[in-house]
Amino acid sequence: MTSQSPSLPLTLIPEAELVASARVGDLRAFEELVRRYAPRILRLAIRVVGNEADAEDVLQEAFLKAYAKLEQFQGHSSFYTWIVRIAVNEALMRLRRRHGEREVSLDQEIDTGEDLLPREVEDWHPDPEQQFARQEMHDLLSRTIASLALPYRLVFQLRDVEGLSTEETAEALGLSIPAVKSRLLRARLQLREKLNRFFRREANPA
Amino acid sequence: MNCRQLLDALGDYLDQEITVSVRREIEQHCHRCHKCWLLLETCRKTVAVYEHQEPPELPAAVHDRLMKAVLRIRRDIAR
Ligand SMILES: [Zn+2]
Repeated sequence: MTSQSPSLPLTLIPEAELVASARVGDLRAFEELVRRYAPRILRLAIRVVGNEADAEDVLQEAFLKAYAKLEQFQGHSSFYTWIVRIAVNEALMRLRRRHGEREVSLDQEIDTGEDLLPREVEDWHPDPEQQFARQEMHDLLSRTIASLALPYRLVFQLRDVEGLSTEETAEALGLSIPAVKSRLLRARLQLREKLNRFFRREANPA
Repeated sequence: MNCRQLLDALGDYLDQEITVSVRREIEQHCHRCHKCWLLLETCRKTVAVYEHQEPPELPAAVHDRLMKAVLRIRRDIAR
């Protein structure tokens, strides 16, 4: 271990140090990066490609590419942002191979002209998370996000789930910043509408 | 500020990327308009429930397959 803090358990070592160690051949450091981020990357991949088997391949390819290119990683962004970007590219490539270039375009004009103004606005439980069991909640949120069109789904996933900034999301998807912002708002409004019937005060938890 | 203008400012409001004066206009509108107040609250909760979700654990087989492949690549790079 070439880390500057050899006595720290791996789980407490800062990301940048793990990357530096992995770069000079410390496999345990790279494995810790996998432990830290692979669950998120797998979930991200599932949400893009839509099934577990393909998503596992995306995950594997993304981390292998990252490992092979560690030398080139400049550290301008975090390793996490970098692996997210690699995984998104990998997932989109797979989708395009399956469905064709045009069907998987992210910059298509998707404005359907429908009014953004929400229809049902009702009061929700103060704490919707308390209304559902953990697994139930996970399934509900996964189903709901899966029903969004890809351009909305991806922007929402990167911004609000993975926590990338507007700029990082724009860069990862090759979109302009206004495009990211308008897609994000539409995604949030659509999800809100879909979650309404589960989270409103009068709702009976499924 | 009317309901339409509030909708235009909603994204930046949720991201806390608005000026103090726009924030005040939004809050004043919400005092008068219960529908917009509910919209703001439910949008905030929508983002929060997704934010709070922890990803499921990685299946051990997926982890092992990946680390085996990394080892192979490492050998190739060393060669
Ligand atoms: Zn209003």
